[in-house]
Amino acid sequence: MIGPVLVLLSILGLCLIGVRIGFATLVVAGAAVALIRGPGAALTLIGQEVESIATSYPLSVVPLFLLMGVFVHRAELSQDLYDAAQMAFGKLRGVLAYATILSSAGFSAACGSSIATAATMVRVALPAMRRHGYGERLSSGTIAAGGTLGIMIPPSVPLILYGSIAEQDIGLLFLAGLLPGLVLVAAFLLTVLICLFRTPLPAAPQSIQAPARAHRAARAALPVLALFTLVLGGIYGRIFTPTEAAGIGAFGAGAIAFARGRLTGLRDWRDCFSETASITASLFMIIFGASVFAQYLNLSGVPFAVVDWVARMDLGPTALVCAVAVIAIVMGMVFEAVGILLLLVPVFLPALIASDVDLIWFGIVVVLVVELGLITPPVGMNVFVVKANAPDTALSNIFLGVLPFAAALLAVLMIVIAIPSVATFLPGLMGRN
Amino acid sequence: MPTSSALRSRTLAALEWLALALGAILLGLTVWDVVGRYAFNRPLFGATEMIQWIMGGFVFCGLGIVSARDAHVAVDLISPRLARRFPRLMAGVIGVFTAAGLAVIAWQLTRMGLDAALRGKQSLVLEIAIAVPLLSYAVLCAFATALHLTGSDR
Repeated sequence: MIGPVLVLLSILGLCLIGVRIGFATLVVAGAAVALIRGPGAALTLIGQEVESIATSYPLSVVPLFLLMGVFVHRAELSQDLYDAAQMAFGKLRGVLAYATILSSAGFSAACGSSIATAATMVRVALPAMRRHGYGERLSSGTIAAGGTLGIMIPPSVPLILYGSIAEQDIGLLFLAGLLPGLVLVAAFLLTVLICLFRTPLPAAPQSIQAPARAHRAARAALPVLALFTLVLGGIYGRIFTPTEAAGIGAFGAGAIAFARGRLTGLRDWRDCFSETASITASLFMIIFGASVFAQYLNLSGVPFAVVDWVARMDLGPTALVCAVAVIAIVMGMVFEAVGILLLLVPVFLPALIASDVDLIWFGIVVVLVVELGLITPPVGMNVFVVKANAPDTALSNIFLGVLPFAAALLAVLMIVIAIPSVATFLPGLMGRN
Repeated sequence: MPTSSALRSRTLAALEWLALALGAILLGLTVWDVVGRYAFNRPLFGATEMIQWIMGGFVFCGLGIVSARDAHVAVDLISPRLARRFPRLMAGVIGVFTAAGLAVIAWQLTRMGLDAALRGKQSLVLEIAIAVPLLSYAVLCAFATALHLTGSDR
C-alpha cells in the first residue's frame, strides 16, 4: 500500500503547488503504471482511457446539460427569478436572504452547476442585499450556501459523473436528489431565520411590490418551471434518455435566451458554445486523469485491499458510508467536486458493493459531502466565487457567514445517512427494487 | 507574415467557431433523433454513434480553448503565494505537467489513429473509418499543446 499512498501524496502535493488537477493526476498515475507494467503499457492505457471517455455516449449528457446552464445564464432569468422569490415571501423581515436561497434553488433546477449558480446569484442578490442594509456575513454566506444547491437539485453534473462511475441509473439519481435537495432548501431557510434573530433588518423593499414588476417576475418563473418539468418529466416518464433530455433542455434554454433577445448574433451563439466546450474540456481533463489513476489503483490491488480491510474491521454499511464521508469531507477541504468523486468512488466502490450499500443512497451522501466542501475552508470554491464578485468583503467574513449554513448542510447529511429513505423514497415510487 | 501572437489569436478564434459548429451538430443530432422518433416514427440512423464522435471533437476542441486561456481546474490554496515568490519556476513546473499531459494524449491518439488506418478499422453502425475522428482529435490536441506552450506566461 506504500506505492499508492505515495502516488496519492504526490498528486496532492503537485495540486497544492498549482499543477492543474487533471494533468497532475494523469502524469503521476501514468508514471506509476509505467513503473508496474512498463512505459509502453502506460502510454497505451492513457490513449485508450482518453479515447473511450471522450467518445462515451453516457457522458454526452455532460456538455448538453452544461450548454443548458450556459443558455439559462445568458437568458438572464436570474433577476426575474429573484423577484419572483421575493414575491413568494411577501413583506417578511429578511426577505432578500430568503429569496436568495429560493431563487438559487430555482436556478439550480435549470443549471446543474454549483459555481454557475453562485456566480449568477451573487451579481443579482449581493447588490440588492447591500442596498437594503444586510450584513456582509449574512449576504455573502447566503449566496455561497445557496450556490451549493446547484449540484443537489437535478439536473446535477456531479450526480451524472457518479452515475457513470458507479454504473447507476442517472434518472433514479436525479429523483433521489430531489427530496434531500428540498430538505436542504428548508434547512437553509431555517438557518436564515435563526441568523435574523440577531440582525435588525427592514421588511421587504417596496420596489418589488410594483404590480408591473411583480407580474413580470411571476411570468419569469414559468420558463424555468417548464424546462425543469420537460427535462425531468421526460426522463422519469421514460420518454427521453438522460442525453436526449439534456439535448431537449439545452434546446429549450437556447430558445428562451433567443426569445428574450440575448442571442441576437452568431457571435453570441459562438460565445455560448465555446464557453461550454471550455468547461466541458476542463471537466473531461480531470476525468481523464482520474480514470488513469483508477486503473493504476486496480493494477496495484487497492480496491481489494480496501474490501479486505472493511471485512476485517467488520464495518456495517452505515459505518462504511460514514467512514467514506469523513474521508470525503477531509478531501473536500482541498479538492473540488469532480476530483473528490473521481478519486474516491473507484477506491471504495468494490467494498461498498460487498457491504450491500445502496449505491443510489451513497451517491446522494457523497454529493452532499461534496457540497460541504464547496463552502468549507481552506478551499471553498463558492466562497471564492463570492469573493471574486465582492473584492471588498474579507474572505474570513464570507467563511464566517457561511458557517451556519455549513452546519445546516452537515445536519442534512446526518439526516440522509440516518434515514436513507429520504433519498431512496422517490426512486422506490418509480418501481426501483 | 503574421506574428506568433496573431497566429495564436487566429487559432483560438478558429477553435471557438469550430466549437459552435460541433456543439450545434451535437445539439441538432440529439433533438432530431427525439423529434424523428416521436413525430415521424423515424429515429435518426446511427445517432448514438454520431453523437459519440462529435462529442469527442467537441471535447478536444474545448481542450484547445481551455489550454489557450490556461483555465484548467487548479487548487488555489498556496499556489498564488508561490507564484508571486517564484514566478518563473512555478510557471515552468505547472507548464511542464500541462504540456507533457497534452503531448502524450496527442501522441497516443496519433498512434491509435495510424494503427486504425493501417488496419482499416471501421465503426460498427455507420462504418466510418475510425482513423478519421481519431486523427482529428490528435490534431486538435496538438493545437492545444501548441496554444499552451505559446501562452503569455510561458
